[in-house]
Amino acid sequence: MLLTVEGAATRLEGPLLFLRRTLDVGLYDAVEVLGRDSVTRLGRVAAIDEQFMTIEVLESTAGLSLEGTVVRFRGQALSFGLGPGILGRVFNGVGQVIDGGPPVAAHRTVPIEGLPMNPVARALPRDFIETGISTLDLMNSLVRGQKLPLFSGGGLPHDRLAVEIASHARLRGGTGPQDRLDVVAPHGERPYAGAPQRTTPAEDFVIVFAGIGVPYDSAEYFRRSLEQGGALERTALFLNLASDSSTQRLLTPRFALSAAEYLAFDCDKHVLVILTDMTNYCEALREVSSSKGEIPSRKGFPGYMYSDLATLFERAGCLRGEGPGSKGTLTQLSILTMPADDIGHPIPDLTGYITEGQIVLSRDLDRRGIYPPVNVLPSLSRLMKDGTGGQYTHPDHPALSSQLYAAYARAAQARVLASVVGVEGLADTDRRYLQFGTAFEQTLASQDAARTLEQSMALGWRLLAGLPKSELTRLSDAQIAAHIEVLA
Amino acid sequence: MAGVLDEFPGLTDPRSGRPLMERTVIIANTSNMPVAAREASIYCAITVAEYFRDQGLHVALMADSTSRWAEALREVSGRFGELPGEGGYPAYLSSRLADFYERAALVDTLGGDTGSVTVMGAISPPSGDFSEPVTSHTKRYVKAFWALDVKRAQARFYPAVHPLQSYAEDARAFAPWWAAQGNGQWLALRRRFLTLLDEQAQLERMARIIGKDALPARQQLTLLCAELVNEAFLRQSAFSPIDRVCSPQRQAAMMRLLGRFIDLAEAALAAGVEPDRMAGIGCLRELQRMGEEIADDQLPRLAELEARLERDFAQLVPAAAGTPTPESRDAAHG
Repeated sequence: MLLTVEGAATRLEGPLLFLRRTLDVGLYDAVEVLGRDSVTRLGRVAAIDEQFMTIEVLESTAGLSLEGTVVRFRGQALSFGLGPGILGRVFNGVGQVIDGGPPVAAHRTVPIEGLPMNPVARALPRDFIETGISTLDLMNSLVRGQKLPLFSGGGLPHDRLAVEIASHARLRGGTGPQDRLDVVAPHGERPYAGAPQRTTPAEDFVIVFAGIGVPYDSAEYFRRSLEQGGALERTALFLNLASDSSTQRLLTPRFALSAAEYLAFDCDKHVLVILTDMTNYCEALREVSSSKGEIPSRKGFPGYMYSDLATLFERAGCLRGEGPGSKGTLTQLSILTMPADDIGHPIPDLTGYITEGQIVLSRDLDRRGIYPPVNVLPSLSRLMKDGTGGQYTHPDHPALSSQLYAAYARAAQARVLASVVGVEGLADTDRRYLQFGTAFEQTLASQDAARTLEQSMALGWRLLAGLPKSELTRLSDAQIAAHIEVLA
Repeated sequence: MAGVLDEFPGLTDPRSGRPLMERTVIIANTSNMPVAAREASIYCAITVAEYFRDQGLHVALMADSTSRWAEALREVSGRFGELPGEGGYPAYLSSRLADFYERAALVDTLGGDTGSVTVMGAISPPSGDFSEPVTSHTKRYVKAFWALDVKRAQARFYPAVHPLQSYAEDARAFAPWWAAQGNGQWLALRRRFLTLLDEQAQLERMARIIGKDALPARQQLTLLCAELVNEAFLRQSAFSPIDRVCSPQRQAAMMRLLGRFIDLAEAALAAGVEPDRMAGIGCLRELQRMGEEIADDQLPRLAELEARLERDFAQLVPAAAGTPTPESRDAAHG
């Protein structure tokens, strides 16, 4: 069904085109807007009332006029034609190929809004993704099917971190999340027999990378580094530039997630989606909302921002059972920059409500030249207990992580103490903690190249060996004997 | 949500041995479902609870989280074009919260039974700020409050319930119940632990200025005992199948054991033993890890630990009367 309306335009305002309602259309239906310059622009119906229809134009509205504008209604929601050929390709924010190659052969066309998963059909995310970053793998593990945001700030190296995770992330042993459902033994009960076998072929792990409202140089950086690192072959890259229209920005993550869902649930892949930067997305949401004249809520962001973000973040997960789509998983790592480093700002706040934990980057660590500047104390991966331990990584991994956390928190206290009374005024134990804190940041948090989990764990045990045994209250005697006393 | 739906069907009821799901109702509304349904979900849940209450059953209702429910209220109110109040929430937020929490009650049913609904609402305030509207209004209507502490959470101190910020107005009423579980001194011990923790909070501020070593011996001992209460009693390991839950009997035994430690330590201090040497006693590490090492059905091991504790202190006290021998100093610092 294709209906064309001509001469009904009454007002144009930024990305919004207001038309008299001369026909019955559905909310969020896709449209094409033809200007007198004969350029076709993609758009969608954003609001309808008795008299008017509001069209969100997803490309530049410069040069559009009221008289000469023709709008074609497609009679269905925006959709995305997908096929296995999307891997290794570069798209713009609305799913058009921009790498100069031929269009992608579509095996399936899906509406970009996706469909909510029935909560009962979801499987609990399990099993581990190795990112190559010690502070993540060891202490805030990413689990297949998890949604984990990275809270960063302006000027922090989150772009580099995103690219490095995309290049180095890999699966370890295990076959899929569902095979684990029948395993009821508590974590750590199965004896550990060497490194787990990698039974998941590497080609089953793919990346969907979406740059949302990123400047041109960052976009080029993403494209080049993925290409040079060889990761582009297993990546579908979506780039929405800062200069693209803000309405288009609202759709970029939806196109990217539709592609990811296709790869995960139609092609049985394990998909890691990296969305950067969600702050640009929320800013676009605020901009479009206020141009529609909606009542603003906190800091001018629309009241429905929570629900809107949920429609994106909830698209992570995996399905239970043996049916179609139950083999793949969709993991989300979304990056956002906290305005003025304020973690209570509506964007990080509402994101934290929906996601399963957060990774926080610290300006202080960055200033001291520590890369990646992950501040482990406020960071948390809520699903870590489901993806670590004997079945997935190592039986002593959770205890090691817990002890590192306790010791580093104590080191942070000792630092506050030392800043007042001086290092000389500290008790001997506190001085050892102080040294531990510095060593932790210099050797474990800081890294030049990707590390395997085994390397990260070895570093962790070595750091703990610097503390008196009486302080290691979160490790059992057996763990201390097996990992720490052998080092001495 | 997937976690709850995945775990619950696998759980067995420890009392009947039947699947726990048989006496559970889950109202699931994930955040990508329609917002109006989110607003309705807690009313739906508490209505279900009242249905069972009226049959003379005791119902526990967990609402996670009422902040997201309030978020939905705010969104719907915005769509209606209502004037926003504090924090963008509608002005009727507090009366809606009161309506909800007031539905928790103990009732005599028409059938002559007693039924009850107990409500546990989780709140997730932005950046841990307890002065925000949902938290502050909820606190007006509830009698017990468990405050999760950021510092404890960051040190992976589980459960991160802050002992001083949390409160239970009905605590006194539980003393007879605890006495029935074998802990007649519960109220006294609880007060003692809380006093210790409160003193610790103040002393740490002081220690920050003058250094821990400069504190008098009595205050150093307070810090030692408070730290032990935290590590040995308040902290549990979620990873450990033994420590994940603790039976009332074990809690009572552990509480008494720690109370005994405090008594012995104070007596030793009076006899002139330095707190540093008490921190070096052999069984301290076992005390700190008793929650993880000694299971619910191994209570005699706690008694053994107590005997060792008595012996360790007995060795300390006479040694303190004279000059410490080299052996006892090694024992204290090794």
